[in-house]
Amino acid sequence: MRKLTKQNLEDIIIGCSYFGAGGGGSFNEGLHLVYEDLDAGLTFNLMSPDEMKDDEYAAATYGVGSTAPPTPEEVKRYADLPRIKEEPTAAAFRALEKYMGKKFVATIAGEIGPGNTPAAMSVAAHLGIPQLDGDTVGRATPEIDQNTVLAAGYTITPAAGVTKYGDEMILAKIARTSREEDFFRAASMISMGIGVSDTAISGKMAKTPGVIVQGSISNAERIGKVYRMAVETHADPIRAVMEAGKGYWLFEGTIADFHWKDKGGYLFGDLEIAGTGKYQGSRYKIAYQNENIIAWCDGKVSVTPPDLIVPVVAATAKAIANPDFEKGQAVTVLGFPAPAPWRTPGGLKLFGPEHFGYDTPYIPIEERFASARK
Amino acid sequence: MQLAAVNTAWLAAGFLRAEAFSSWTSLTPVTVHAELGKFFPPLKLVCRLHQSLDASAPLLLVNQHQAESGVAGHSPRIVDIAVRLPDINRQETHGNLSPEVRELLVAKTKDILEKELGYRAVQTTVAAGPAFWYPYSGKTSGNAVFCRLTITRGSADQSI
Repeated sequence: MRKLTKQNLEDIIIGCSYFGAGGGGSFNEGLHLVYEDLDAGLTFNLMSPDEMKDDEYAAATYGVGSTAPPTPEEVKRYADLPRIKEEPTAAAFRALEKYMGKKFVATIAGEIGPGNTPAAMSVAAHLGIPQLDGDTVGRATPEIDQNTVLAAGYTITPAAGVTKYGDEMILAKIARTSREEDFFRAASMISMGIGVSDTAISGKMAKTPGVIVQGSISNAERIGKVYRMAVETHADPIRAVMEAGKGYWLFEGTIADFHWKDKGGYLFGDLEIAGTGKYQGSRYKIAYQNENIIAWCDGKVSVTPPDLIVPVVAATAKAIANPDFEKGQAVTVLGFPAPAPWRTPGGLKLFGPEHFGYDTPYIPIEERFASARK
Repeated sequence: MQLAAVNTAWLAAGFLRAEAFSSWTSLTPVTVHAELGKFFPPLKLVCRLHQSLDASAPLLLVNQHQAESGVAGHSPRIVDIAVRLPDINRQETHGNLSPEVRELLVAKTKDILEKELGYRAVQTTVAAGPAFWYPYSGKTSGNAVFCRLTITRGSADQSI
């Protein structure tokens, strides 16, 4: 067990921003949560899966909802509903404990993202328990189905959902795994988001290779630290992050156009980048569903899911969250290989190009760009 | 003799007030949205902070791709600045901006706008980010808050 300092937490959140691949919650909100908790005297502890006893349990907690801002109509519609004092994610975690009759020893992040990972860590800090050093995706992901526990053949139910208005629901059983997503997504659409807790797993499962992505929080911390050290030593942080994440320099250019819409509880959109420098004359296009999903260079597939596509601001090295683009903004696009569990046939079924409706095979990023590392 | 000295002093003070008023009115009126505490400031500005030996100088960086269509063209001009606050103990704050520091920052920002950029803020909105210290500057002279100012042309009859 390791107590995390403010700097450890900042490194984690910066690292998470790259694994967010355009989603994974708000960077500023993630920082804000952590700073508020530190100011309140709460402590953040990180626990290795190896420290769990086989019969102890940990569970995931995260928010479900679109990353688009609420419309004035939505704000007006729900304005007079009561609000609970507790964060919906913490309330969902307690609701699942109560339903299962178990006291969980740690929280598991539902994904690695700059807003959602700190949110899970904040729940742990509020509950006085550690965060498990691992998560169920290894990056940010648009759908609940993209969960390594599912890919490993386990169930993620029972699940609890709590809205900020205090609505509480338990999904004891679902007909098909995707139904959990459907239920909570539907609830989030009439509640402007919902806190969810699921994937209650034993220590034995957490220690089994491939069931969760072990060490993903400390890996994010490592990447964040690399960013920080690069800035301190006047090195190029974009290149440093790329190398630390065994990534690829996919493209450079300026934002030429972008579109987005909020549909079915997701943020759908696309982004076009006009090449500059050695990419002059080329166009790079990225399509996203909350997170960046697929990219094309001059109409040819460049990167497919589950590999990560990460546009960063050229001037600051900040990973850009969808849809926070500005036309004319200079960007660099990085690509990173997906965690190993997603590259299996079971993983690709849940997170491959076909799952998102793209008729193109998954070719690992390192094969596509074997000779292109800049 | 004493009366003459008093009168001279009064006249001199009046002259200085008039000079100050004239200089104040020659500033371009603008509305400013100040984001205090950018966690990812422009890397060029970070380098300048590291390299700058004069700890009293404000550090400015105009965001080049937007500066060309600046205030005169009515589209917002974006200016990134680093405001040095060497005397503040950042360990005590955890990165949250206290009201006192926020006030100090707004005052320093206003000063920079007037003295360095020739603008008079007739209306200012402030958004304080949670991470206001740039965490990677080891020395106290590097204690700085990175801010982004979005400057739009204002009207001279707007009040502050």
